[in-house]
Amino acid sequence: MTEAVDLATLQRWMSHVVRHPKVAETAVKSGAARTLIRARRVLAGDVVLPNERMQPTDRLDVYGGAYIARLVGVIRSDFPGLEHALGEDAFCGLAEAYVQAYPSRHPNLNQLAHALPDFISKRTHQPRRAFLRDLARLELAMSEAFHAPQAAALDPGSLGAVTPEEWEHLVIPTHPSLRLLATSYPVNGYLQAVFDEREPDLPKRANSYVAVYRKDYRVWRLTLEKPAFATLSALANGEPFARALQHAGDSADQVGHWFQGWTADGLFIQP
Amino acid sequence: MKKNTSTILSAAVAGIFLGTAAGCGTNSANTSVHDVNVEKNACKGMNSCKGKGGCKSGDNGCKGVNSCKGHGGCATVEHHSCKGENSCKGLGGCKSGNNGCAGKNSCKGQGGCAVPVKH
Repeated sequence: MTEAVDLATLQRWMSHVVRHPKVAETAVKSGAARTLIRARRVLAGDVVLPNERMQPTDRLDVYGGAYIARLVGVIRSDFPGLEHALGEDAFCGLAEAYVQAYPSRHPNLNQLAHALPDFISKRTHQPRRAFLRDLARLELAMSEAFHAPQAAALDPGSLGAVTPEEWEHLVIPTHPSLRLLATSYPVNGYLQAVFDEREPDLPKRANSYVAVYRKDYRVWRLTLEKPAFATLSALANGEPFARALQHAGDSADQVGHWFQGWTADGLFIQP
Repeated sequence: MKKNTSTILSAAVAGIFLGTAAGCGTNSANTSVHDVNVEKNACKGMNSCKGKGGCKSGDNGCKGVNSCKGHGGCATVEHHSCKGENSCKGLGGCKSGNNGCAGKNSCKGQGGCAVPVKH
């Protein structure tokens, strides 16, 4: 009688087999799996029992397939715009290729798609690659914004005693959820059209600027003009107030409007 | 400091103080909310869900962020059991006082309004 496999070894082996990119028949013969349990034992039904319909490797493939499918599903849940742009089949192909190239390494699946925009950038055969990368950046930013740490919004009352000279040098931190994206395609409008079920065409190239942030547990997207984007980016980069405002242009009314909105939306936090 | 620079700085400072008084974002008319993303993400990524098929689609499964976080439970059906569930949709809607979105059906559950920026 063959010696039983201890649970810890069985678990490690199962993990290797399930996460292997190929089918179980190949996976059980891989080096990592074989060092734990010999493939011959597996194929003989000594580890995973066969049943009347399925061989041991067929049964393992259920888990292997489900593992990839769940990861693809996780990506799909965060990238509905990308799926719309690509179509379901192409999206699944992209997502499967991604999870093979960037296997899940963290217990928190919210981090799974962290490199998806870069992955798209490197797919030289991918049609509309630049647009898709920008769209993925926007949707990734939305996911990141949702999961970013909490922070108390700026209370302007606490700045009442700040002198004009001090304002020039003041650094006002931005909210941890704030993501600022400069894109080569107007992806925010495209994404909104997808949400509105307007079946948008893929947009033409045009520079676009978007702030993504969370307020009251909701993720918001704000299209910005370039000066506003540059100003907010400078603040987010920790530049002092007066220096950041050098990007703002000459319209005091406009600048006042920006800051009123940004403050009300909680984009600034206590210095 | 140059006069115009001083004017811009003053305007920015005034905007910050007015931002409090406004209570609601004046940017809101130009802003879109993605509620669907919120409910999905609220469920996704929990260890309890990992590899088992996402979050449950029961009425309370997606209500509120906190109720999903950490104890959303799992379903043995497909991952997207949250997606498109009425119980999940429309929880956030648009900000109160948001003139751009208030009262519009398009805000409910689909992510608010997309209004071109007019700066």
